Amino acid sequence: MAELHLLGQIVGGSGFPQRRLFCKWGLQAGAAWRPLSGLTAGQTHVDDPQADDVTYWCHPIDVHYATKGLQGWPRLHVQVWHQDALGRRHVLGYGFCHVPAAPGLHSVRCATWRPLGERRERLRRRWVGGGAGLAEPAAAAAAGACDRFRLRCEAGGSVHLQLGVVLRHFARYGVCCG
Amino acid sequence: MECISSSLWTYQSVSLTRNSCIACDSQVSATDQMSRSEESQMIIMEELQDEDAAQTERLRRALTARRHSRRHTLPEAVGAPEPREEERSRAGMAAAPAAPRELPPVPSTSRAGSAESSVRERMREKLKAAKSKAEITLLQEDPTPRPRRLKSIKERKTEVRLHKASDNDKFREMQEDESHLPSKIKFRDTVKKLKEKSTYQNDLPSAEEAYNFFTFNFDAEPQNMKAEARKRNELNEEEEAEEECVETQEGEQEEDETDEDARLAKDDLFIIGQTAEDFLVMEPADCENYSEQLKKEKEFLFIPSMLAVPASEKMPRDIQPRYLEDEGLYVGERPFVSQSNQNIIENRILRQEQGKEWFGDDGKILALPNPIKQSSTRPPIFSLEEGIAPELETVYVKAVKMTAANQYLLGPGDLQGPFQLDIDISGLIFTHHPCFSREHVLAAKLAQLYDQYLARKQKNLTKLLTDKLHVLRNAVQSGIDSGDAGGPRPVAQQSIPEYKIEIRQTRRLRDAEQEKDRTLLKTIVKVWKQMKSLRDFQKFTNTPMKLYLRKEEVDQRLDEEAYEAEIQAEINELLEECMEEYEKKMEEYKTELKEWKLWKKTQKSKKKKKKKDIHEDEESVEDCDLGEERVKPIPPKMANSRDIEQQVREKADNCRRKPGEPALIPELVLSGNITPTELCPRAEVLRREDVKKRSAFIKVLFNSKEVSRTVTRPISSDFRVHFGQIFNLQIFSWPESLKLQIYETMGMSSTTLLAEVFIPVPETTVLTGSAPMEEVEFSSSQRVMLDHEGVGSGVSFSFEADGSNRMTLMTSGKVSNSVSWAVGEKGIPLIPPVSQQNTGISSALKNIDAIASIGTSGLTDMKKLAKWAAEAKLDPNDPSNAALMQLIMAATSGEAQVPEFFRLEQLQQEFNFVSDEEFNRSKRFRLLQLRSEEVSEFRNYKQVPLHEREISEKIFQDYEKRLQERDVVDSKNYLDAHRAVVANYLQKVRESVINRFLIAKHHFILSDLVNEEEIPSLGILGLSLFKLAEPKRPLRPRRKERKKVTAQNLSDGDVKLLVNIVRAYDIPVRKPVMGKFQQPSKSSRSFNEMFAASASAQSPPDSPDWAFSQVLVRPFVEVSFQRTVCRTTTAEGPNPNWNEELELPFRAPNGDYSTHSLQSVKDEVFINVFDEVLHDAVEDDRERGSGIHTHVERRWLGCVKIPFTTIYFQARIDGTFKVDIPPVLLGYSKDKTLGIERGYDSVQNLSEGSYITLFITIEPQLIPGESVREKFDTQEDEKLLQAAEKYEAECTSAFPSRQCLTTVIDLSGKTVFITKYIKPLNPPEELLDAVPDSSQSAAELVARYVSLIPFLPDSVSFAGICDLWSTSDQFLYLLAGDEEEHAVLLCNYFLGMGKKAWLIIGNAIPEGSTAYVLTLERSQYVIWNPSTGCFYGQYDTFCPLQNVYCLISCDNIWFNVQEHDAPARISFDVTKPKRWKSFFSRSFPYPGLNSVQPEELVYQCSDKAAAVELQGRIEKILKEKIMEWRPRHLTRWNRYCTSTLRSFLPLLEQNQGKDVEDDHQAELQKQLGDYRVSGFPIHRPFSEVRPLIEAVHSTGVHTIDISNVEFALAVYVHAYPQNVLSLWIYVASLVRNK
Repeated sequence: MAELHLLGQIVGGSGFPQRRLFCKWGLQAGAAWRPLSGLTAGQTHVDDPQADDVTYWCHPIDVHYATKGLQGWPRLHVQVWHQDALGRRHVLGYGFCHVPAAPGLHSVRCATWRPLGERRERLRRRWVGGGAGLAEPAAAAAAGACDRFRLRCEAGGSVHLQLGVVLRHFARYGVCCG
Repeated sequence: MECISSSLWTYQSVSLTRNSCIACDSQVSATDQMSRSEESQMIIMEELQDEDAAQTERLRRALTARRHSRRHTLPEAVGAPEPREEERSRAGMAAAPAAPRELPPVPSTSRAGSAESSVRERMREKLKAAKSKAEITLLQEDPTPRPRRLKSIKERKTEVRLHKASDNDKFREMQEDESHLPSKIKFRDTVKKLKEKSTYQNDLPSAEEAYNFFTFNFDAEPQNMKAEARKRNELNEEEEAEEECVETQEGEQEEDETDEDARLAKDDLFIIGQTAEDFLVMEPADCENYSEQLKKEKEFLFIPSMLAVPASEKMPRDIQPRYLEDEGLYVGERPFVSQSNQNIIENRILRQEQGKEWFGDDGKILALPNPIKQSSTRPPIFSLEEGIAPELETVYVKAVKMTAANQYLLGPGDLQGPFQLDIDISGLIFTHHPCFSREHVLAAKLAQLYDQYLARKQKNLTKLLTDKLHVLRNAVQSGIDSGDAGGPRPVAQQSIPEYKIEIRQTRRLRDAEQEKDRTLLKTIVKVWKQMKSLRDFQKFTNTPMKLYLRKEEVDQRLDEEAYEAEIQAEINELLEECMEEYEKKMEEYKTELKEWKLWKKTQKSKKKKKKKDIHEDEESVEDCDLGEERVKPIPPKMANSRDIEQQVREKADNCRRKPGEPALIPELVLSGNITPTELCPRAEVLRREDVKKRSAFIKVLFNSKEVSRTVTRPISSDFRVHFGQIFNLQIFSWPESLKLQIYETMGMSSTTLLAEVFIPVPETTVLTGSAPMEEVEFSSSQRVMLDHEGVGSGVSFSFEADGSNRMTLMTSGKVSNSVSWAVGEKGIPLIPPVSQQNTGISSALKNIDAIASIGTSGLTDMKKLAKWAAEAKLDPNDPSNAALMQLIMAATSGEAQVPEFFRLEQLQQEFNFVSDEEFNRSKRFRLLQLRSEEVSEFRNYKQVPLHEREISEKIFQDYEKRLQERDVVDSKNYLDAHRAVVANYLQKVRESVINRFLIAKHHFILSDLVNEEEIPSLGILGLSLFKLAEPKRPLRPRRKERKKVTAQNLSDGDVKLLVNIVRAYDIPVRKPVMGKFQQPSKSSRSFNEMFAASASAQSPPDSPDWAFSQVLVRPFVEVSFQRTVCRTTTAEGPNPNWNEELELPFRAPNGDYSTHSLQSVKDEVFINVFDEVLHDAVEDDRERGSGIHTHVERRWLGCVKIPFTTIYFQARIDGTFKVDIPPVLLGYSKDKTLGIERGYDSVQNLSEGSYITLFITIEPQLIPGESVREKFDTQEDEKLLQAAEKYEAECTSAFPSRQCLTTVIDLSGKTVFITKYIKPLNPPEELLDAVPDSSQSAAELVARYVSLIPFLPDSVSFAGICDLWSTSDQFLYLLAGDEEEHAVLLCNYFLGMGKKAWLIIGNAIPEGSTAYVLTLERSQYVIWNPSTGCFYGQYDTFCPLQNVYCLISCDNIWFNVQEHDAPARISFDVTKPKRWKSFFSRSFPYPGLNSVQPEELVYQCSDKAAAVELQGRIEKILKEKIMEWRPRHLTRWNRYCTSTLRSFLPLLEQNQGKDVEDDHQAELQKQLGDYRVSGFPIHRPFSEVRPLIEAVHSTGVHTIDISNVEFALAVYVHAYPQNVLSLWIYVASLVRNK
C-alpha cells in the first residue's frame, strides 16, 4: 500500500544529430503497481531550437502510483523522434531509465540508442529519410539492455529529466528508500 | 617444503575439483578458483606450522656453524657483542608475548597488501610458539627480509617521521639500514653449507639436502626479521630507560647509528673477500625418476578406476536394487553420461565417507531427473547467422507524416492491419448419401469399422495394458519375495496392496479392450460376409472394396503355455481377491454377530422384565418391536476356486484368441471391379445416373457471413467430392465463428443445404504449412426417398429379405479441411491480437494431446483444461508436464480465478507488502482513482485526505447506489412510468456521450497549450504611443474589454451574477375590487389582421374615468437564483423604471469551475415581477391617529426565466423580454390606455403582454467552453461530406459570425446530413380533427402541441459538448428535447399539413443559437418559436429571433449572404442566389438522400384515466409542499374556491389560455362574495414534479402571512396524444374582507 508520486518533467534532449525533435514517453511498472492518477504515457511537442542544439520540451510528468510490492519498480522509457522538413518523422533514439528510488528531486540523464540497420537501409535513410526502427518498441523497452548486444546500434543523444519522487509508507513495509 | 606444499596443493585442488564434480557444478568461476587457492595457501601454512619444529631444528643446525664464523669476524666491529647478545635473547624471551601489541599495524603496501598482511599476521602468531624455542639461536643471523618490502616500509617511515619523530622509529630506520646484510649472510650460508657437503659427498645432493634447499621457506623470514626488530626495539627501550639517567638520548642514538654503519661496511667487505668457489658450485639438473614420482604421487593422489562398481558395493548389504521403472512409476530420462565417467565417479564416491548415501535404491547415483540446467548460465555467443530475438527485430520504417491515430507510445493497437486466415477445403466424403445403394451402405460401414480397427491397432491398448499387468505382477512378486527374504522394506511393503488394486483395474481394462478388439474383428467379418452375399444376390458390384483376412500362424505350444499361464495368474489373483473379501466379510460378520448376541441378551433380560411388570412403557414396547426385526447375520461363503476358474476360462474364451488359433489380420483393399453400368439392372442404372446428376459445393461463412464458396463439383460414384481449394481470408479482428455450409445441387435447378459445419478457430500456433488436415463430420436430418436402387436418407430399409432388422440412415459425411493462420513476410504470422481471449497458455502445451481430448477451444478455457488434467491423471513428476501442472495448480487453487500471465512475476505473491484484498480495500486509492477517471461524483473532488481514517464510507454510497440502480426505474420522482423509463434512458445516453467526450476532451491542439502573444509591430507601437499623448477625457468613458478569466483559478464566491433591471412595460394593474367591467371578447383573428394591425385596430380604451379612479400598481422585481433572492425597490405604475443592479453570488456544483461543469449547471435565473399591496392592518379605528399599521402583501404578476447556461454562453444578455404572465390574474387587468396616452411608440403597444428590459452578465467574465473537435463516424457519402465541409468553409469565411450548419450528430453519435431530418410528417389526427376548418388555428394548435413537449437543453444534458439531434419519433418517445427537436418536429408537421416551411438556424434571445421555423402564409412569412408555440410576423419587433443564418428545407440548405441578418431586414426569398447561397445547385445537384425520419408517426392515444390520476397526485403533492413552506402558520384550504378553480381550468385549456380572465373574476366574486382573491393559473408542459414545485414556489403564494388567509389550489392535466401532457395549476389566496 505504499505510494509513489512522481512529479517532474522531461526537460529536453541534447546531443542528437538533428533538430526538430519530439519525444514519446511511457512509464512501465510491474503488476503490483497501479497508477492512481496521471498519464503514464504521452508525447511532447516538436521543438526546433534556433540557437543551441539542446531541445527543450519541458513536458510535465505527474503520476501517482500505489503499489503492493517492490517488484517492477516503474521505469520510464523514451523515444526521441525527428520531424523533418517535410513533416515526416522517424525515430532517433530509444532509451529508458528507472524512476529514482530515493525521495527528492533528481535530474536524470537518459542515454538513447538507435538501431543502425543494414547498409542499404542506412543509405536509404540518408537519402530518402526514415530509418531502422524497432519492430516492437514496447517489447524492446521491456527487454531493456540485456539483449541489445545482438543489434548493431548507434548511440543517440540523451534525454534530460527532472524527476521529483515522493514516497509514502515504504518504510512501513521495511523498505528503506534514500 | 615447497615441493610438499605444491603437492599438498594439488591434492587439495584435486579434492576440491572432486567436490565440485559431485556437486555437478561443471563450471567453476575464476573468482571461485581464486578464493580456493587462497584457502589452500592457508592450509599449506598450517601444514608448515606442524613441521615448524623440525624445521627449526634443521635451521639451528645450519646456523650454528654460521654463528661461529661470525663470532670470528665480528668481535671487533661490535662493541660488546656478547653481553648484547645475551641481553637481546633475554629481552626477546621476555618481550615475545607482548610483541604484537607494540608492533604498529602493518599498513598495506602492495596490491595484495591486506591479504598478505592478514596472512602474515596469522603466520606470525602461529610461528610464535616455535620461534620462542629457536629464538636464541636464530635471533641475529636469520633475518632475510625482502628488499622491496623493507624499502616500502622505510618510505612509509619517513612519512610518519614527519609527524612524530619517536625514538622508536629512528631505531627502526637503523635496523632497516642493516637489512642488506642478513640476506647476503643467508645466501652465503647456504652456499657454504653446500660446499661443505660437496666435499664429502658426490656432486649429487642428498635427497634431504635438496629437500631442504627447495623447501627453505624464504617467506617466513621477514617475520623473523620483524620479530627481531621488535625485540630490538624493546631492547632499545630498555636501553633508553637505562641511559636516560646517564646521557641524552640523542647522543646515544647517533652512536648506535654509526655503529651499524660500521658493521655494514665490514660485512660487505667480508663478502667481497670470498672467492667465487666459495659460493658457486656446478651441479646437474635435478631429476626425479618417473616411477618414483608416480609412487610418490600415489601417496597423495587417488585415481579412481574406470571399472564398473559391483552393485553390492553400492547398496547396503542384503538389499536388492529396486527399479522404479518396473513398478510403473515415471522415471525421467537421464542425460547421457558415458559409462566410464559414471564408473569413475561411482568409484570415487565410494571412497568417501558414507559414500553409499549417494546411491539410490536402484544402485544409481542419486540425481535430479535432469540435472542439466535449462538455460545456459553463460551468455550465448552471438553469431550473425543466429536469429535476433523477435522483440529486437528492426524494421525499416519509412518517414511518414504524423497522423493523430497513434498518439501514445504504449498502447494496444500497435499491431494493426489485415490478418489472414487460410481455409483449405480439400474434399468431401459422404458416409451416407440418399443415393447409396445397399452395397454402399455396407461398404461405408465396413470402411468405418476398418478405420476403427486401424486406429485401435495403432494405439494397441491391449498390448500396453498387458505389459503393464506383467510389470505390476513382477513388482508384487519381487516385493513379496524381498519381504520374505530379508528385512522388510516398508516402501515396497506398503505399495503392494496398491499394486494389487492397480493390477485389478488394469486387468479389467485389458479384458474390456480385448473384448472390444475381438468383437470389432467379428463385426468386420460379419459385415464383409453380408456384403459378399449382397453382391451375390444382386449380381453386380458397386464398390471396389475387398476384404482379405490374413492369418498369422503362431507357435501353438508357446501360445498355449502363455495362455495357460495367464489364466493361472488370473485365477490366483481372483482367488486372493476372494479370500480378502471373504476375510473382510468374515470380520464384519463376527462383529455383527457379537452385536446381535448382545442384543439378544438384552432382549431376553427385557422380556423377563416385561413379564414382571406388565405396565411397561409404550416406548420400550416399541423398542422391542424394532429390535425384533434384527436378523441373525449369515456367515459369508467361501468362494470356490473351481467356480472362479470356470469364470476365468469363460471370459478368456469370450474375449481372447484361443491358443493355437491363428491371429486374423483384416486388410481392406479397393481393388475390386465395379460392374459396368450396361450389366446392371434398371434400378441400379437409374441410381447411377442420379448420382451423376448430383454435385456439391461448400460455402465458407465467416462470422455468419458468406465470404466465399467452392466450385461446384459432381459427386463421384464412390461419393467423394474433391475440391482442393484454398481460401485466403483477410480479416481484421479475431473471428467469432467459422462455418462451412455444404450444399448439394441436383441437375441444373435445385440447391439444397445439406448441413452446416462449425470449424474451430485455429489456435495461434497453427500456421499455414504446419496445419494438419482435419476431418469434420456432418450429418443432415433431411429426408429423401428415391424411386430407384438408392436407399434414401431418413428412410428405413432392410438388408433382410423379410424386411426385418430395419435401419434408418441419415445423410452424413466428412469434410476434410484445414484452417490455419497465414504467415506473412519474414515469417510473422498474421494473427489478430487475442485480447479478449484468455490465452495464457504457453507453447508448452503444443504437443500434449490435451488438444485432442478437449478440443482446440478448450485450450483457452482453463477450467476445462484443469478438469481434463484431473481426469487424465497426469504424472506430476514428469518434467514434460511441469508447465502444464503449474498451470493447472494455478487454475485450480485460485478458485477459478486464472491469472492472466501465469509465468510473469512468479514470486510477486511472496513479496507483496499487502494482499490484493487489502490493496483494493483502500478507500484513499479508490477515491484517487475514481477522481482521475472523472467519475461524475468525484470528478472535482479536491484534496483527497491523506489518511484512510479520514475518508468516510459515505463518500462511496452515492456512487455505489448509482451503479446498482442504473437499471432500476424509479417512478417516485416521475409519477409516470413512461417518463421514468425515458429519464432512465436519457441518463444512459448522457453517460455514454459524456464518457466519449471526456476522452475527446483530453485531446489538445496547439492553441490549447501554447499561448503565443504576437509581438507588437512598430505601427501598433506608434499608435499606442500616440494614444498616450491624447488628452484625458474623464467625462467620456470608453468601454473597456473585460478580462476573461479561465475557470481553474476560480473558487466559491468569486463569481457573481449581475442582473440589471432597467424597466418594465405594461405591467397589469389592479382592478377595483367591486368594479364590474366588461371587455369585448376578442375573437380569433387572422394572421393578416394581427400583423397589419395598427393601434387603432386594437380594442378601444375603456372609460377614462375608470382608468383614473383605480389603484395604481406598485411593482417590484425579485430575482432568485440558486435560492438566493434579491429584490429591487418598489416602483409605481404600470411602466415602472427601476434601473437597479442586483448582485447574486454564483456557486458551481461541487465547487468545480471547469468549463464542462459550468456548462452543465441546470440552475435558472427567475426574474419575478410582484405587486406590493399595502393593507391597512389597524384593527381598531381609535388607533388610526397615532400609528400606521399596514400589512404588506405581494402578489405575483409574472416571471422571466433565463437558464444559467444561456448567460454563460452568451456572456451577456441584453434586451427586452416578454414577461410570462399567467392568462388570468385575479384582481388585475392589462391597462392599455396608459400606454397610448403616454405616447410610447405605437409598435410596442401592438402586442399583448408585459415586457421587461434586462441586462444580465457574469462577473468576472467566464470563457465559454468550445465545442469538441471530434470527428464522428458516419454513413454519409464521402463526396457529400467533402462538399459540406467546403460549403461551410466558404460560408464562414465570408460571414464569420454566422453559423452554417450542414451536418449534425444523431443520438448514436454519428454524423448525419442535416436535410435528412426534414420530412413531411403527420401531426396527430386528434388535433386536426379538433379544428377542421381553419388551417391557421390548426397550425396554432400543432405549434402548441409541439411546445407542450418538455424542453430539455442538450447543453445541459450533454454538458455543452455538442447538439445531438434526435429524430422526430425519438423525440416523441423521449418527450424531451431542445429547440432543434422542437423546430424539426414543428417544421415536419407544417410540411405534413401542406404548408411551405423551413427550418431557421439563427440566434435568438434569450436562448442564443437556436432553431426556429419559418412558414409562408399567403405571401406573409411567419416565424414560429417552436418551444413556446408563439408565432411572429417577419416585422415583429418583439420577435425573439434576432439573426437568421441558414434556412433548411428537406432538399437544400441556404446560407444567408445578405448584408443584414435581422429577420425584419432581410428577404426570405430563397430563389435569389445573391441573397441566399444554396448548398445543392446545378453544379452539385441534390442526390436524393434518404431521410432519417420515419415514414409515418404513430401516436398513442391519450390516456384520460391516467391523466386524472396524475392530476390528483400532483395536487396532493403541491398542497403538501405549500403547507411545508409555511411551517409557522396554519394553512387553510378553501374547498369551495378550489372546486370553482377546478372548473375553470378545462376551459382555460380549451381556449389555450386566452380571454377568459374576466369570467373568472366575475364568477369568483359571485361565488365567494366577500373575499379578496388573488391568484393565477400556471401552465406547464409536464415532465417532472420538481420543476412544478419550483414554479409554484417562485410565485411566492405561500409568503402571505395574514392570519386569516385561505388558499385554493387546483390542478388539471390534459392529455394529448403520445402522452404529451398539458398541466395547469391554479393557485389563489383568499382574504376575507371586513
